[in-house]
Amino acid sequence: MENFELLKNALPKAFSDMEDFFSRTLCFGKDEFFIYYIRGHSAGDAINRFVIAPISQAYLHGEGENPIESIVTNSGFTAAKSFEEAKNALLSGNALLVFECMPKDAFGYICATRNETARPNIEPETENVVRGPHEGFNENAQQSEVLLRRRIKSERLKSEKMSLGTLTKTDVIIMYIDGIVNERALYILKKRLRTIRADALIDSGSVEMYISDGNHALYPTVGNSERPDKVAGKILEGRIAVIVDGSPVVLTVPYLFCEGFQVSEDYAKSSFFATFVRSLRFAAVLFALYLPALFTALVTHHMDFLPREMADYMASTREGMTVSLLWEVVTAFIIFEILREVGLRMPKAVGSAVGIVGSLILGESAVSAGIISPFVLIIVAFSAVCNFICAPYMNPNGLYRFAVLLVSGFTGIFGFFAFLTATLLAGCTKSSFGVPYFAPFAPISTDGLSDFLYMSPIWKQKKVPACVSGRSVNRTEER
Amino acid sequence: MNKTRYRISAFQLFFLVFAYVFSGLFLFAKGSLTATAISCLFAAALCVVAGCLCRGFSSSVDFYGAVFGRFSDIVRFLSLVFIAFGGVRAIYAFSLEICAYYKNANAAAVFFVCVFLAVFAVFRSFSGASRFAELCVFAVAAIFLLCLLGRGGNVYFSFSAQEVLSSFDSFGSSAVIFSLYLRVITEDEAEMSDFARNAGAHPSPVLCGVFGALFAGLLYIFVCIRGGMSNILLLLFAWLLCMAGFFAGAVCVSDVLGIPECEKGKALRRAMLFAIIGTASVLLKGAVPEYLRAEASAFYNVIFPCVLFAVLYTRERKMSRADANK
Repeated sequence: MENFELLKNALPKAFSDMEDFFSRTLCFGKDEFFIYYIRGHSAGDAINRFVIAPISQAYLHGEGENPIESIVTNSGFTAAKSFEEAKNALLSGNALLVFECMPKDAFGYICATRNETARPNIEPETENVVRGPHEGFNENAQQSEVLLRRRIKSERLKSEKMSLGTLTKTDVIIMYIDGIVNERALYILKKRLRTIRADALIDSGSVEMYISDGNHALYPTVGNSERPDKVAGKILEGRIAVIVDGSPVVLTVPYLFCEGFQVSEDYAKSSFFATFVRSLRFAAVLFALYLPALFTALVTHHMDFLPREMADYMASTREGMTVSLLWEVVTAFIIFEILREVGLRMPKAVGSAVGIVGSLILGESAVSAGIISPFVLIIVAFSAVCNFICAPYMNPNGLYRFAVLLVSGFTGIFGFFAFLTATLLAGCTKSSFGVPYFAPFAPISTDGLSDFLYMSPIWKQKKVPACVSGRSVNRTEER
Repeated sequence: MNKTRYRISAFQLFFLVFAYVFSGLFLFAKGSLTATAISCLFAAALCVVAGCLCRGFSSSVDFYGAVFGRFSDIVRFLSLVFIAFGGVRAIYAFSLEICAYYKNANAAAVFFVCVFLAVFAVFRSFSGASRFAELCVFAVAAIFLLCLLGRGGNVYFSFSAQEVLSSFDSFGSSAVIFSLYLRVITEDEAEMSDFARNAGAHPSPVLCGVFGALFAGLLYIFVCIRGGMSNILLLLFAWLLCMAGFFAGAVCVSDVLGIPECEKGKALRRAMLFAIIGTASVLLKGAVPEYLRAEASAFYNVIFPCVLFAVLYTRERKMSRADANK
């Protein structure tokens, strides 16, 4: 009775000045039922069919005395334990049924009538594959959870839900496989999620910023993907998936450096070709990062180490140049980054035109005006193209490349070497949720190496990589 | 204090020994087959001795305390002096090597950058240094591939007193090998994390050290024969291996000083002590005649393990006699 009066008075007050907050009253003799919901957020059809109609039918057939749990046919029908829970349920799109004869400890009954219409599960544009499933996550966390459950039909696939953000109360679901999961990473993840003190978490990107290792890490320590097959594969290796309601991008932890070179399509190819492609990706990233810096250091400070013909050619191309080689390369990269950013933000029709203008006309004109030499343009263009081969590291590589270029340009080959050593050392001391970032290479994990640069056939990968899970788990059972 | 952060695995030991021996050969052997062979064989033999003697101990403080009792501090100080002298000399030679490629170079700047990187590598744990050494396998692969493109080079063989002494020059200090073995963690120790335990194979530390030393020699000879030292790219990778060698030295300095196990104030004082010894070694480098330093180094490197072995052997004999008399 107390709770009934409390809810009847407090709920309309709490949701005042909300034009989409509705209440529906049902009267059957002395019995009154109040149904509260937010229009659009709750599915009106579900409220009609699974709440109003059953109650009406029960009273029509003289079954109104039956327990309410037997009358209402909604599958997610539960009692709210507190006023706060009742309020949050309404804000999540559920309907709240309140009546006088509720049990004393109940603050209304929550009916799962959330409007689940969402964008269809289409393939993400940023993660295309030729061979493989063409579906992706969408903004509905529950539907994303279902996509993973369809792929891993095991009771060991656990899921835990929490609500983050004092204003947004964003639902966050973590999923992992019991018995395979990295227990330490799970503990660290839960601890970090619980300590998030933010009023709003709109996207998984915000959650990623909060849970990442290190305050100002350049390279990511949290993975992300919009592909269910990729995320399912990662969960099967002992990682944990973090689904954020409102975002189609699912996070995975721990995230190691080698994962940037792995693509789900590799597992559908022959191991020889997959190994070749992975080595190609690795080599391309090295060219993207270090070729401009090495070129600048050698030509600026150590010309006598180049082959004579090359040195003569370089000297001839440098004649009449108005800027030094270092600033030439930096300028070329800055122009490229501006064009890339413009191409991304502009509408497609305009963006492609800008790309053509930038690359053909600007490039041609810059060479003719003596601002950039053809050799530099080739090096910069090749390095820029190589950077796109590894999508997760595209942005961090761009910044790192600038830094190593500037150091090498000013200090020569020793600066390049010292910077390389320092960054490798920093990477060696880095970890992602307790797992060394450069695993399975440093420290060496022999079972993890079979899925790094060299990819052994899938039937030969008999164990879950211990470098991620920390356990010795066999993939295949003995027959 | 998380002791697992200050232990190394058998694989890491392999790479650290490999890098340490290779860096010495690269800087001091100058294409001498004699120096290379003696250095590598001596290093391999020391690995066998260290692997047997250091079993059951987790740091130099434990080991020297157990073996030498109240004289452990003196022996540790002596080891520290020889490690510091060898390490500083190696970094100085490395600085000169790099400055050879610059018109107006500053060897002191290179020297301090290398020292800074070595300190940074072991500052909060040994993981940075040991994992960096593991990454050097890429450098080895690159060196090997680049050498295949090289032309013929110079190696020479001469068995003289000078060559034999210079082999100890290339090797550095035997205390380094003992330090590395004291920090190796094996499968049967409870301190090993689940990750490390399940990560795969756990080879024998003795074999890892032996093969590390021998492969270093083989790679160095291969590089000399293929004339790779004129290739700037190859030099870059060789320099990475040298840095890994310096990091091994830094690990050993921390271990001999007992810095990981100290409280903060004490750790700082011990680091200052090392800095003083390092500075003194820089200043004395010019004052002490080359042959005297080389002879002292050779004497220490041979006598030190013999003394260790003798003390342990004598103690075991005494204990077995005492057991027999009971």
